[in-house]
Amino acid sequence: MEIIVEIIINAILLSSMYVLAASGFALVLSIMGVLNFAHGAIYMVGGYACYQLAIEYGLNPWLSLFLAAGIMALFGLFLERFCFRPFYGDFFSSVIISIALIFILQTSINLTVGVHVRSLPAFVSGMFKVGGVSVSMERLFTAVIGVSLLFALTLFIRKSKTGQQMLAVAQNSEGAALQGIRIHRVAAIAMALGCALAAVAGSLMGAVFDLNTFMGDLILVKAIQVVILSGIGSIGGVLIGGLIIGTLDSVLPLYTTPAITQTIGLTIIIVLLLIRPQGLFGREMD
Amino acid sequence: MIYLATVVILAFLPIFVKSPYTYHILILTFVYITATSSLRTLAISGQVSMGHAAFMSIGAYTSAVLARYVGWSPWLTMPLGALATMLVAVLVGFPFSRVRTIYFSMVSLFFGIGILSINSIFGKYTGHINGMIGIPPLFIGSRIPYYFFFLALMVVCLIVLWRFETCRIGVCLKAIDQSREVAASIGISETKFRVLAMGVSCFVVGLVGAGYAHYNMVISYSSFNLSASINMLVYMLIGGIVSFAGPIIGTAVLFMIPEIFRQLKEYTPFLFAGILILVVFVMPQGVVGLFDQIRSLVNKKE
Amino acid sequence: MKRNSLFKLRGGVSLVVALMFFLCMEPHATAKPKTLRIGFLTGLTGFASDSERVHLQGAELARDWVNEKGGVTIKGEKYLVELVPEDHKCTADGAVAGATKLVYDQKVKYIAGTIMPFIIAAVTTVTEPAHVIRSVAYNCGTPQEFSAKTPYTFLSQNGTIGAIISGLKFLKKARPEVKTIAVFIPDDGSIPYLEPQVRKWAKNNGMEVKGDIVGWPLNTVDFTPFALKAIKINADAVAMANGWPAMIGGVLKALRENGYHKPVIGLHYSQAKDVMEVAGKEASDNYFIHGINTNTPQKTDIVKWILDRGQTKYGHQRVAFFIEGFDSVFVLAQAIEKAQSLDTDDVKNAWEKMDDINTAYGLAHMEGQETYGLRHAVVGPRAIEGLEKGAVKSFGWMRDIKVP
Repeated sequence: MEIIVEIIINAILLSSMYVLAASGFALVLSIMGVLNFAHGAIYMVGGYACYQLAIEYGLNPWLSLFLAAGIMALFGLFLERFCFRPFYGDFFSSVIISIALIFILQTSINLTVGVHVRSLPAFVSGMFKVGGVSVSMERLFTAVIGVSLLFALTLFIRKSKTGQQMLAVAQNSEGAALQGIRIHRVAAIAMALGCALAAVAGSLMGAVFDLNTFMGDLILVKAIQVVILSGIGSIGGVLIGGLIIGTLDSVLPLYTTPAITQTIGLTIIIVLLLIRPQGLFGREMD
Repeated sequence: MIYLATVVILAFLPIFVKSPYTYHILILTFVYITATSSLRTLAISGQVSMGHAAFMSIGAYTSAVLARYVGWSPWLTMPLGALATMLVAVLVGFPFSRVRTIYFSMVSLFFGIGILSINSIFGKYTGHINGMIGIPPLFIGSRIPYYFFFLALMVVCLIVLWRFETCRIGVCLKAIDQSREVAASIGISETKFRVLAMGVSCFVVGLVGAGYAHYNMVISYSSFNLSASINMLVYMLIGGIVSFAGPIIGTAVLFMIPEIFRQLKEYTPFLFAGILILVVFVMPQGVVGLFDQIRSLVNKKE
Repeated sequence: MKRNSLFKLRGGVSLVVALMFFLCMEPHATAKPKTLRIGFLTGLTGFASDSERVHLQGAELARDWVNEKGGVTIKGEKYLVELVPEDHKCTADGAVAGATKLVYDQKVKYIAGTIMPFIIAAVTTVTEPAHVIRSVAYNCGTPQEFSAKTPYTFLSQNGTIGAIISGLKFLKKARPEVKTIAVFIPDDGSIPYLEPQVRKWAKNNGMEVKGDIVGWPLNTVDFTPFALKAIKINADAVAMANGWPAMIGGVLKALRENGYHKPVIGLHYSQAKDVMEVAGKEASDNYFIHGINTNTPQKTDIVKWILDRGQTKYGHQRVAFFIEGFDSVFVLAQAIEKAQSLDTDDVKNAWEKMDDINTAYGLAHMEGQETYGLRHAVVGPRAIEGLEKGAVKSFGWMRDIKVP
């Protein structure tokens, strides 16, 4: 009995972490229409930035987290202005730029600090005991932050003026431009937010798991799975997509071999997409 | 015309060039040119696959397993590998071809990752991530026979893909890509033609994958994973998707240049990224587009 | 008219590019007199490159060590070791290309380095037909890497099977109450080969592997499901074979977080400090691994030198990885000196017949006839360290390790 509870709790925690990792990716894809393959690399750089600030400069971990997010947000503005804006509307050129970005970011970090084994120290430590089951505080916090950020993001999009503009641009960019919305400003904000979210994910998960130069690669695949499953255009839907993928990843390995786990997981996604290509909550695209 | 000249030069290369390393690089370039060109055949029908290396793996592993464990000659197992790939392609093609471009790309991405997981289930034979060894070779000894084999294979496959593209079927496919409604009104069955494109494209990539397996004598996931698929996509896009020569030039540039500049060692990814950025900013239609740009410059002067 | 000039332009550019290509590609090996060129193939780029580059640093340390002591003497002439590094990009394609370049372009006759099974297997297809001697830096126990069919390949490390042998023996000594073990092995195709070895050697030491092997894929993000699986088995201890420090730490952390506090041992070589870095201080208890730290007693002179020079030259002390690179070059240099010849067949024959051979960890022996089909494995002593209540502790040395 106890192990079932542990399994469920772990599934929820892992799902929330996937949600955290995927939110920024979903935002950029939905608002800018860009499949940012570099999301994983930005996640990784955010984690290393936080480490630099917290360990090398000795700042408070939460402050470092905040600053790392800020730095990556600025980086996001730079990316939007110089890397993605010139190719607005050209899907494949954006893909190529993001791939080039992966190489640049990964190689830079690898050649400077990659050789050292690193992990961020826990932001909160200890175990949280409830009803005979103990849960790592670190994971719990990360999960809570992940889900909260997603809610905050959806609120922001629905209620704030900028958020409404983002929705408008996402649905019909020409129409939005005609209404006087400055598309590039909206895209810049989306990119900055997306990178900040990636940095937060990288820092928090860099403490729960570890930091290494190629950790972004694994996260990228998960983020793509979650976001495509939830649907392009849906931000809130990431919660459900994350829950599905997270549950599959936590439950299946317990009962079967890794090979079958991955096969089942991917088959489910493929079949779902064939039946409903726009994902669970995505909007129809032309 | 230029193709003929290149083929002739390549055919007579062994007289001048002696280094096995050069041949190795050229052989791999031929393999990837063929694979990337087949990717383009799919792409022109509006199906941009992000999992093409997975089909290459089906051809490679089928041929390798049959040759190694059942004992058939590689010359027999290679076409069988290609047939197996085509079969799988057509089977998944029916559901996949119904979804539109961007969704096809996503589904193919997951299929690409998924195929390797299925492969792992048969890990006892396929060697799993650790790789499969002991694959019977096509020729013993020097690389020269392999060189001519792959040169011939590439030429034949490219001719097949070219004819497919320019013949009635290919023209129809391009029409579908441009406007589904118009195509439908003329009576072109979209799904049928797309599946056909999948079949032809994947037969070619399966065949060249099988050939690759028997050349390398060892195959592993690292050659067929998501990275490999994305590489092929990038070669095609950088070369220029509009023209048939695009994938050829793109592969040649992006595959050979990092090999030529191996002395950069750990800085090589910067070179690769640099080429990508350069092409994307300066040559919007890919490297092939560069020639057109130069032509229009030349024309202006005349 | 316009088409003609276009074709001419295309043709011209293509020919220039082709010419450039071939001019750069033709072999340009420069053999300086009295240098012993040893190729070193490692992952300078690619998914494992952060650890692989430490191997190259270790190899450079070996070169410095050998050269500072006067190099290799063959028939009265001194040869200085020159490393020829190449990148295998952590892919099989890159490995074959790198090996081909080393063998045919750079014309090296000895290649050291490489660790992952699929990389080693890929390189073997190039080096064996060319009779190039390989001094492999690690071995995961699969036949792809190393078997009677690869007579020119030598293993410069105890490898996974060596770690299984020494680790399980140590476990029984340190924790005599352990009767059953749950085992973690990466699910990359090595389980069918390692499982019989783990079971056999557990039995030899009066223990038993309980339940199925817990296999985990190399792209695991979260180890909790696998930890839960192992905990369900409810064994007296957990052993882990293969994996990089981040994964090792991840498994330990997941086990401890889910309430498993019994002994955990790593049947591989790394730094306890690195494992603790990933697992966190709370999980770092009751844990053993083959590793060396600055407090390990009876360090050999070479290890002391590596710790020192590694810190000054490279800024870190990932000794286990340094030594994997170091020994692959060091033992090769000794074999060549023993053969008193640069011919690879002479070196092969001499190396096979050697009994004692020096390694960074101490005096080692050539073994492995039964396990691998060839007496090509260098087996030497290993230090054990561990984590106890959030601190790194040394547990002495395992000597007399024998791989049959």
